[in-house]
Amino acid sequence: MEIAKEQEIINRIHDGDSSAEEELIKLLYPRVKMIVGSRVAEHEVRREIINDIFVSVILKIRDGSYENERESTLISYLNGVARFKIQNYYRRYYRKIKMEVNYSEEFTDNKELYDYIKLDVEENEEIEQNKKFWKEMINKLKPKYKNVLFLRYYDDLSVIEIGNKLNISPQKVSDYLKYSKQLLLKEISENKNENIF
Amino acid sequence: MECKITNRSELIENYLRRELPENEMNSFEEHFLNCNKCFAELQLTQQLMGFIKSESKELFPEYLHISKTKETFSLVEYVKNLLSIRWAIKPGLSYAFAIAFSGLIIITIYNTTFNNDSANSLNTGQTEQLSSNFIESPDLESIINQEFRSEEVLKVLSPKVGEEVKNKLTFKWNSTTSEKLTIKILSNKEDLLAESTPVNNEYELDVVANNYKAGLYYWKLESKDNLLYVGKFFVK
Repeated sequence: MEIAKEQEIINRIHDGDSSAEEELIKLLYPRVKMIVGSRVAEHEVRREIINDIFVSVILKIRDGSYENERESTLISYLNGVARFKIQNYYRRYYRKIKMEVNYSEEFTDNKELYDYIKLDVEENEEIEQNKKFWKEMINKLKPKYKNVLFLRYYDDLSVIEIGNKLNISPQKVSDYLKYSKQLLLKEISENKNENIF
Repeated sequence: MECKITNRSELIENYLRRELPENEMNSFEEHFLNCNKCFAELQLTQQLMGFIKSESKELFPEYLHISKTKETFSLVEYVKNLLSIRWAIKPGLSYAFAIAFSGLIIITIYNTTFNNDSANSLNTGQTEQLSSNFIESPDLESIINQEFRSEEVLKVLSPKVGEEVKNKLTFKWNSTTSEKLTIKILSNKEDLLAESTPVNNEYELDVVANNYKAGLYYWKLESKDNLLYVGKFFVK
């Protein structure tokens, strides 16, 4: 996010513009989800932590304390909060304290925002929705690319092992992987499938 | 923002496989929060990996045998390559090989047709059947004794891989999961012969009472959704 854009969103949130809050969440939700998802396996807990992160950041911007204590960009601040919340979760987890966070009290004045966060669909549902799309995309690839993709992501073989299996150089394997991903990215952007990402 | 990462794909895969050290993981996260290019590829790779892992069996079964078929035929390919190189160097060798091979076939036919060993009480059909009971299953052999779960989750205590049994065989394992595991006994042709979900992580098989013929047998441990272990044993 550009600095100017970031400052504009901060100012709008501080001025009480709820659409700016939604904009910030829409913009960064998938990325924060990726960070939390890489460390927390359970879907429900993950969602609670993500909510907690956004709630903390937005409340700080709203009451002006973010601007007063500002030491870094909003993105870096958000990343710091995310790490803190994840660590906090594990601290509680190891102490066997159940997470009990009630957002409704904090967000009684901003129901829409809370609802937006709650709308995040289950990952299994996402996969189900995207199944057909991914099947079509993968079927468009040539067999040599498919072979490499399946050996890499299904059999979990290394690039060298795949090279040995298919009698091609590891460099070629990396090229095939890179190229097939580029093709898929291109297809996705051309199809503009909103369910993907 | 211009992205200066050169090893993007490698970094992304290591990130998704949780193989990055914590400090590199943090700095990459800080980066992709701002970088659209890296985040797009990260999301694509994550979804692609998830999709291939979960749906391949159903949607692309033909692509899941590549590694096994290649392994099975690698020796054949090797011999083929070797012969093609020699023939290219010395064409005369091909004739020598053809003569030697024909001789081998003639000797084999002679032995099987005329050499009746009176001490051997089994006729040819029985011998063939007996030997076919020992033929390995390529699919199961390729995954035998592999750790699908860490030792902390599942540890197989007995039998050892390839153990020989005359009467009874006890299967024992330690599992830290609350889920009860199912044991399956298979023939070398992968036919299911017995199945049980014991409560105490132990199963006893009486090969005599169950009329198991001499041969190679496999056994599997499965949870509700996953294959956890494959082993083999021989009945004498």
